[in-house]
Amino acid sequence: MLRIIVSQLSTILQNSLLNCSASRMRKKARVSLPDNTFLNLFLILFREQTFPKIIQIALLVSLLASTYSIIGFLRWEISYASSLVAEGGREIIVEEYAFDCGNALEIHGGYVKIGNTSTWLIATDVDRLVKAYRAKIVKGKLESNGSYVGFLLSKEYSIQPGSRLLVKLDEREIYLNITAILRFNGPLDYAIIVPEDYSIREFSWLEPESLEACAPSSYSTIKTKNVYGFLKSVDTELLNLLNMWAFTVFILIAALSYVLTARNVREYSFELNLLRALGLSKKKLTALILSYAAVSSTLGALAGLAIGVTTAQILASILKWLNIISVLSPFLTPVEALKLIVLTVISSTAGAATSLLQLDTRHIDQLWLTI
Amino acid sequence: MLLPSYITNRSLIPLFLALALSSLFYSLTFYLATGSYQALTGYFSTSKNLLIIYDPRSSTPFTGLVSLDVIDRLENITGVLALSPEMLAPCTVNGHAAFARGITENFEKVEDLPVEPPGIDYALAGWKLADRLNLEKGSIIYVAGVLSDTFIVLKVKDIIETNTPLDDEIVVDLTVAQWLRGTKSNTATLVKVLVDPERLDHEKIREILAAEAAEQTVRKTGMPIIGRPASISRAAELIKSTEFMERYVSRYGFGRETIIALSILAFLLSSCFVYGSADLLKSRYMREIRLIRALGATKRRIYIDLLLKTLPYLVAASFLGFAATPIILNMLGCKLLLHTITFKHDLIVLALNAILNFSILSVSFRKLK
Repeated sequence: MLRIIVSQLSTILQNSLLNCSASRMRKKARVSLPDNTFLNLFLILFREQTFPKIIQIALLVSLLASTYSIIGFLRWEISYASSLVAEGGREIIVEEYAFDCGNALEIHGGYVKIGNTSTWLIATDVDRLVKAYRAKIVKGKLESNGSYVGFLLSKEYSIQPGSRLLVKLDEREIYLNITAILRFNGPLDYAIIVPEDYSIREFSWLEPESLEACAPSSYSTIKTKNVYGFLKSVDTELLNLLNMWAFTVFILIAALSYVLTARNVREYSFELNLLRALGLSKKKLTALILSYAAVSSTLGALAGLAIGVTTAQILASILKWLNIISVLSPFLTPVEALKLIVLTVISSTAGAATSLLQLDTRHIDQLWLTI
Repeated sequence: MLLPSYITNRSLIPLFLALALSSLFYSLTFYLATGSYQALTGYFSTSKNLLIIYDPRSSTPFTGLVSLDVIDRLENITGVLALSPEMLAPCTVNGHAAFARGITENFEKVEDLPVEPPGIDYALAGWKLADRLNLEKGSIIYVAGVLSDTFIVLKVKDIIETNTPLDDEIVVDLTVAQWLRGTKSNTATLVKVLVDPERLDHEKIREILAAEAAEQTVRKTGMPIIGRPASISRAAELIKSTEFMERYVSRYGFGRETIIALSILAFLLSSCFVYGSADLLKSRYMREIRLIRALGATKRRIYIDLLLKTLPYLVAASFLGFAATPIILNMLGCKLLLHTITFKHDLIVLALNAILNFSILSVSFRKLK
């Protein structure tokens, strides 16, 4: 009886000792190999499947890089062209955005009819208008309470100083005594100009001498000779078009990463099983695969940038040799290059993560659920 | 006959997505490239019997200037039916960038569009621009010149829909466009000439244009021309309307060849993805394929079976790219040079997509053989 008890106790002790040493060994293994992220990563990175993955991503990124570098040059040309044109325009406050601006020249206007045709009737401080627009007095002179016609209008209707002009303003009919003909070399050459006490306000605008004195903290004006603003709109459209196309390329990269990760997991199942057996947790294994996707896509993006920009440069040289385009120097700004790399890595990692998620939920015979 | 269903529909979803994405990417590249090309080349009318007199020195089609002094002389030439000067002025309408197109009464004759000059204080707004800026008939618009210090207030006389680039512009009198452009009253961006091609005397027109250039030089320098001095004004050139914009577009390396090259490149790059997906599907079902092989099916039969099983997905994906892309692009309202690009369905996209994707699948599944 005692013998039996002793033998059983020794068995239990042996088993517990064995268990203890096994768990200690597993613990030790966990500390050594599986925790060495670099080693684990190298284990799956330096495989024959990695290079095609990098190349495939590189080719897609190269397409983006070459296009962005050519567009980058065109955008630079646009901004350069706008910098060459002297701005020097006016800032006009239209009624919609009006604010109190003491030194502004207020111009009110409306549409009046002379005979069967309509034209502008402008009511303003005539002296200041003549000074601001550098108008020439072709005939007659400026008089208090006088009315004036633009040069082209006077020519079309043979209006002379001293003429009485009948104009229809809404339902009213007004006789104007024309005292001078003014030449503005612009739209006002077709206008009738009257002193500001005429109440007409179909439209109105203010031309301030200086906005700094009266402008509120945020204001909106309409600028003339705004070459930069105009070209900026053209530039934004071009960029929107390109970004939309680039978006599909990033989706393609994500999907590519999805397919390649699914395939890689299948092909590297031995290595991944080995790591799992050595004690690498499921979380860490997932992180390892995602790191693999991130590293390979970073390498792919870098290679893609190099291929893309070089291809664009070669293309530009060929076009120059063939005399098709004389000046084309594609370039990529550091910000755009960084943006391309980051977006490639994000889309690739997202694709890989989706693939792992699918693997975990649908194909239960796969990887870690079998271990 | 098809082999028993050993591939689940669910496992074909990744391949379908790959085909659909590849098809979308290919179609998007093709449609964007062709749409942009057509938008740019169709900026001015491409009627067969229309010639354009333009300034060959200008680097863009919008910045050239030709003298209108020649119009009187050209009117009497045999074969010339009508002349219509046009001035394109970049401007801002209520603070938004747009183009103003200055026209005369002859625009209607030359373009065969019911658009008349609206009068000096009015503008016709294209419906797309009106939609963008919330304009309606009778609205007052504030128009500022971009190349000149001109500000003008105009009333919208009408909203026009012509299915041409005019839908994104404001149409004004030629004089108003000249003010906005800041040029003299005897200049225009180009002159459209409606001709009777069988009776037209091309040489006579060229002679008149050259004579006008020589006169301009004398007017500028005050010296008679001896030999060919460097300061001689270059004659405005005559070109077919169909070739006018192509000339400018190809100057920037954007031609039909570029579109084809870009589309092929897009296809090749996306084909890697299709190839990978097909390979994944194949490797996933390798065990079943081996089993069927062991049961007596030939490699050829399995190969054809795989192709036939994936064919409906391929057709559906190709159709998706062909049909959905123009709809998506039109909904997004893509613009180029302030003009909306219109995308039309092109059967070539469907055919090429299906053929190219089928060949990729054939190559991918071929390893079985």
